[in-house]
Amino acid sequence: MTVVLESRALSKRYGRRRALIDCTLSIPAGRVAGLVGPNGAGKTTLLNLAVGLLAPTSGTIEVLGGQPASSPEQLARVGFVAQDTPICAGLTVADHLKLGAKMNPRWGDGLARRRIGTVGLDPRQRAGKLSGGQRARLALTLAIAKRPEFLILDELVASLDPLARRQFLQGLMEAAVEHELSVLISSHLVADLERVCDYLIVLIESRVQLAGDVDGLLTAHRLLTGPRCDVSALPADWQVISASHTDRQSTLLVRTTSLVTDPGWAVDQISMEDLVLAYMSKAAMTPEVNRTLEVQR
Amino acid sequence: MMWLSWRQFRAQAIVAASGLAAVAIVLAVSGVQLADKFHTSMTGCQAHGSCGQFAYTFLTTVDGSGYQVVALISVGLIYAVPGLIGVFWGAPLITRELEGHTLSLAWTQSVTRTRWLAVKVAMIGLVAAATAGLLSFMLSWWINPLYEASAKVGAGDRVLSRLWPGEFGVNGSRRSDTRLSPSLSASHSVS
Repeated sequence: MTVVLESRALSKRYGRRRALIDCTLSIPAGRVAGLVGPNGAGKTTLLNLAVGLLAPTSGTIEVLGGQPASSPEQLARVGFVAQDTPICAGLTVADHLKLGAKMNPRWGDGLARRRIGTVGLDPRQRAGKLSGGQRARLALTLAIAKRPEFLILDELVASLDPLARRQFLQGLMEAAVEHELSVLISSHLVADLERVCDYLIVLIESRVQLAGDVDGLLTAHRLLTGPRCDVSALPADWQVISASHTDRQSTLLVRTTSLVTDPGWAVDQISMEDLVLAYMSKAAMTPEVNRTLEVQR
Repeated sequence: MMWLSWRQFRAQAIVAASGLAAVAIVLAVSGVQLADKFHTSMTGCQAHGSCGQFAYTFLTTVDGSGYQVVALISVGLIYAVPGLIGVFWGAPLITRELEGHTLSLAWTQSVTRTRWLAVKVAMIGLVAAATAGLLSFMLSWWINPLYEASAKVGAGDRVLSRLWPGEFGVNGSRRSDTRLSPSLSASHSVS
C-alpha cells in the first residue's frame, strides 16, 4: 500500500453551494499530511468524504484502496475525530473506552488505558463535564486505540491552548511513529502544522491549490527580492504566486524548477506558513476571475 | 453495538421499568381484591337461581368506586403509553445523536450504519412492544372479574360500557361480539 487517499475529480455540492470542486489528490502512505485553508474552504467536506460520512456528488474517492465506510473492515482501518470532538455527554470516560472496545475488533485496550492515564483523564468522570482540551484528548484516544492504519483529524488542535496544542501534536507524532500511522490533519492554523507535517494540501475556495511533499514544495518556491521589475517580463518557467512592488523594489514568490541565476535577485527560502499565506492571498485577489469562469461553464 | 444502544437507552428503560412496576403493584393488589370481591358476591348465586342479579349488584358496587378509578387510569395509560414511547424513545433515537453531533462518532466505529440503525430500532422496538404488551396483559387480567360479571348479567348486554369507555383499548376486538351501543340502561340489562 503506497497511497492512503486517492481522489479523482471529487466534487461535493450542498444544494447550489459547491463545497468541493474537482479535487484530485493522491496522499502517500506513512505521512503526516496537513490540510490547510481558510475557514469554509471545504476542508471538513473533504475529510467527511474520506471517512464516508458524506457521499460525493461526482468523482471518486478511495481510502486505503477501498470505498469509505463501505464495510466494517474498511471502517476499522480508518480512525476519525470530527471537528467538534464528539463524545457522548452522558457516558463516562470509562464508558467511552468500553464503547470503543465493543465497537472495534482491533481495539487496543491497554493502549487506551495507558493514554487515558498519561493525559490525566479520570475514568469515572462524565464526558459531558470535560473541558474542551480533555474532550479532544478523549476523542483522539478513541481514534488511536481503534488501531487504524489511517487517522483523520479535523481541526482537532483549534480548541486547545498553545501549550496543550504543542503537547498534543507531539503526542500525535509519537503515536504516528509508534503505530506506523498515516495521518491527515486539517487546520486553519498553519504554524501548528508546520511543525508536524511532511505533506501539504492547500485547499482554497473549494479547490485544491497546492498539494505535495513539504520539502519539495518549499524548494520549488523561492522568495525573490530585487530591483523593481515588470512581472510579465520574467522567465517563462517562473510561476508567480505573489508579487509586491515598492518604488524601487519587487518582492516575488515564484514557483520554478530551474535555479535562479540572475545575480540581481536575492533568493530566500520560504516558510510553510508564508507559502500557504501567499496562496491564500493569491486566491483572495482573483475571486472575480474564478466566479466568471464558473458562470461561463 | 448492542452495548452502546443499551447503554444509551438504559436510563429510559429504568424509568419505564419503574413505571411498569408501580402499575403492576397497584393492579396486583387491587386486582386480587376485585377478584375476591367478585367471588364473595357470587357465592350462593346458583342456589338462589339469580346469578345475573348477583353479578349486577357486584357491578353496581364497583361503579363509582376506587376500582373504577383504577380501571379508568389504566385504560388511559394503555392509550397514552404508545404515544409516550414515541415521544420519549422513538423521536430521540436518531435526533439526539444529530443534536449532540455524535453521529460522526458512532458512524466511524467499525460498525456499518445499517447495522447501527438496525440494532437501535430493534432494541427499542422490542422493549416498546414488551412494555405495551405487559401493561395490556396486566390490565386484561385485572379486568377479568368485571367481564365475567358482565357476561352473567345478560346475553349480549354491555353493562361494562358505562363503566368502561375505553374497553377497546384493553381488549381490542376480543369483545367485538357485544353490542356496540353504549345506551344501556341498568333495568334493561337485569331483566
